[in-house]
Amino acid sequence: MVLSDDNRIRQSNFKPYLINPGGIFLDKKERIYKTLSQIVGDEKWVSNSPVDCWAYSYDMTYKRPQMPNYVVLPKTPEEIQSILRLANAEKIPVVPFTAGTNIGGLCVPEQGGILMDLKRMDEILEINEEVRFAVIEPGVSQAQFAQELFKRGYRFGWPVGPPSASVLACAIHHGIGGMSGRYGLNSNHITGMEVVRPTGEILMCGSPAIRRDSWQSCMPLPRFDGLFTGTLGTTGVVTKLGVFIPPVPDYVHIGTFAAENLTDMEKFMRTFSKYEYADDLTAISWWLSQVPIPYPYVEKPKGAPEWTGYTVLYAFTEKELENKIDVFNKVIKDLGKQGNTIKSTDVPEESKRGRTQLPSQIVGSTKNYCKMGGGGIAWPGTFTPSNRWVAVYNLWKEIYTKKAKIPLSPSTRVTMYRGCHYGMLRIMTPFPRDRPEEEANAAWCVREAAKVLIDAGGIPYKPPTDFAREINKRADPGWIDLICDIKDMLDPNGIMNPGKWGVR
Amino acid sequence: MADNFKDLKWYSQFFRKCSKCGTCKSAYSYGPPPTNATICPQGEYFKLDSYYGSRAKSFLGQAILENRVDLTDPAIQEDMQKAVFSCTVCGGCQTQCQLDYKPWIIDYIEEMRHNLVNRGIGPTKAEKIYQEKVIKDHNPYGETHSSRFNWLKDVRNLKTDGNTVYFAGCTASYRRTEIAKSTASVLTKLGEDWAVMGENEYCCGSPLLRAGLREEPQKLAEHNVDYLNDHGFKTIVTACAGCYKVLAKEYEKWWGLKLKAKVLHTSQYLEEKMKKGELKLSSVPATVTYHDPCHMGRHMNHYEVDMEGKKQWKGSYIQIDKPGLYETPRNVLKAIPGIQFKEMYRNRDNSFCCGAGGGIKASYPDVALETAKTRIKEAEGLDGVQKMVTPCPFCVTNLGDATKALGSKVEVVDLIQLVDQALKK
Repeated sequence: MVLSDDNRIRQSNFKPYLINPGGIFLDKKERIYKTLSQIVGDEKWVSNSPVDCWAYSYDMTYKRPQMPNYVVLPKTPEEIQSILRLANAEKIPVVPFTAGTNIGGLCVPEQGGILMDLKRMDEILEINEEVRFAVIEPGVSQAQFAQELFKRGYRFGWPVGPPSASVLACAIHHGIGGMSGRYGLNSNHITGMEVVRPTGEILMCGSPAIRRDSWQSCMPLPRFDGLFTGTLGTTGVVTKLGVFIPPVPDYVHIGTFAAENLTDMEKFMRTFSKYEYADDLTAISWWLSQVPIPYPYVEKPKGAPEWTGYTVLYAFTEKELENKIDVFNKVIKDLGKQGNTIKSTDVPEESKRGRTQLPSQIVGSTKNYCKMGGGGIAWPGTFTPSNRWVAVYNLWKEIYTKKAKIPLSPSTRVTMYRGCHYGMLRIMTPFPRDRPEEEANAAWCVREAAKVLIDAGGIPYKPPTDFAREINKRADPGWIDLICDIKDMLDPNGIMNPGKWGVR
Repeated sequence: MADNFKDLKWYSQFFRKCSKCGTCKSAYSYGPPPTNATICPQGEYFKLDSYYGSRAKSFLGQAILENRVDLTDPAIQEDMQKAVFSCTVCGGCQTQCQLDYKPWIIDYIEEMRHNLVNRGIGPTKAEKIYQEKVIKDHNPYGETHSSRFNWLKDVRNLKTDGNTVYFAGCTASYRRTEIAKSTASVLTKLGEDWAVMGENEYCCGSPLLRAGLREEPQKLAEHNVDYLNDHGFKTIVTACAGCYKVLAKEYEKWWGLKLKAKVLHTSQYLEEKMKKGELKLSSVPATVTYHDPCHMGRHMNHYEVDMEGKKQWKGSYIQIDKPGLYETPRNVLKAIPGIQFKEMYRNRDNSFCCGAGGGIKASYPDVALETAKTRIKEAEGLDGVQKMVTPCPFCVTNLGDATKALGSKVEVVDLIQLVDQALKK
């Protein structure tokens, strides 16, 4: 087949619909409902009931409930094309949704509209073991993907999110996982994508743009996938994603360590990460090491190290693993000689296994985080250079334990990513959902923490709207202009998840 | 009338602890190897998040309690009824949940139904019809009360005194009489001094409880408990998973009604006999799989909760300290010579509901049938499986309906029928 012909066919192959299937006397609400039903072929896959819409109105975070006007569950890219064309004709917002498990209210509609629930698009289209990539639809869950990859001896960067969470949504929003120390962010694993643009055109990015069955890499083509990555569902609907899948190595060692303070811990992590030996190199403050996070704040017991950590070292041979362990031990020993408080620790095997056994119901359900707090969880999750971690952490401690009306645990995590000395810095903040004053207290802490973080040079990932506003206040005007221009070009009617970027 | 039911506001201390993580939407375990399967029949059918797992129920409870939707609007009433009453209340979501919400999920869903019933937004039309029948004739099938033990005429004379009483339940008495007859046959073959309640057996109350009724099932409970306690039975045996849950757990839990006799599901009764060496079984050559009824399995899990905050914090879920009946029926089944047992992918706590529970067989038959078809297809996927065995007449009925609809070669039988076949006279 001539591939360009195939592409042309796809552009003209979207499902046509009648603009006004019920006749001229239908009001707008009824008209949109009927048209959506026609597009997806069955009223079963559409709702405008407040009962159904309510279930899409909030998430784990403190974000106030905001309901969509419609929920629609398409099955194909062609149906999505038609929905977006309808939304443009009616000037109505569209919010893409997979599992709604992000920590940023990203799928909570700011301005109502059509919530596009993509869970029916849940096929793993290809697992190519020779070239080591997989092609998935948006509704493929971490659990589903893990099951299929494990059977074949492959893996992915499993986050500490729920097993129900979408692999695709995590990857296109720069989610991280258990391989981020070795392979980078999950967005670094993207090898290609199919996207429906806000105006309904369909396109491919990366190698499948040239040959539809080749999903090996986004490069060397221009990185147009970047237009749809990290953009919070505001620039299009990604309907297929190619991702790199590395093999599961035969050997693994989980090294554990502790330090009396973050200064020493960061120095160890920075030193050890230069070898690029660790798939995962993470440290957590004492409060986060408690299961669950103490709510409200409690003093750390005297003598307990403030920071503990672990590193996951995979290898394909025993010798390779031995070498990695030797280097890990050597770095600790050498730093110890210099007066650094870092030291190896011994933790139960069960606890160690928890570091690699992902996705996990226990971790992913946020049980470890918010069980004691009472159902709610929020955090400024950020990418921050490691040499700023200490300064930010100290400011966060001040906010959480001293300035907050109700002191909260500074339950902080740092994880080193591949590439240079930066990584995740986040403070996980549980709160009770049924006590508004305490919820507001947690929200205040999170927002203040985000502000000092951005001022220090960190960038929140998957930012909720209040973070986006803080980012934009400090952003380069040229960068903001470019966002606006891109948004206007791709989405002239501003229908895609409006309000999330804080600029359009 | 005094009871131990809690209202929706009370349950809100737990359902507001739902983090909305969605772990309840599928049955996943890391393993290794990682395993993943669908677990929520309602969610799989409707797909909307308002129907999926205990997460959805948390949203709905809040909407009801905090007036987030206008429940005076008839259209919204209808939607709310559908969302709340089309759940099989199977507890598959409960098994997955990791939060303090977990122990309360089943009771809370039924309380949500009760709340809607009080508002006139329930029961469903179909439930109303069978509820009236239960109240009038003590069975949901509209059969005369006096004909309850007609099946017994083919077996022996009515006998109402003995050490052991067989509580047949409505489904076995009126619709699955082959199960009742097999149970009678097994008890007789084992030399049991057994009786029935005759016209004094009323519906256990399960169909009413599941639909959110409170006072009506209490009357049935009081009647059954009074009769059973007054007649000095030592053991109550039932072959129905639904009756078993109500008799063994709920009469006391909800109304403090204690049965003097020991309550056993037939599988427990048979396992006891097996351990004593009294179960002499001959060969039944068949390749079989086993379907866990929710009422006997997940619903019989006992949860340790730290209500006072002595171990963890107030209201925290600690663990399942006593699991439901998973191994007992399997032990009996596997003890039959000639049986080749093959486990379905979804089993025990992660079993997939037959689709009949929670009143939806009557109210949402399409959901019930599609769910059962899924389960039958799962059994068909096992190489050579000829029979799906389950110890619940209601599961047998719904799964049997699915085999007919699919034209499946898998035969659905009750465990007691297989034991009867294997039991030497």
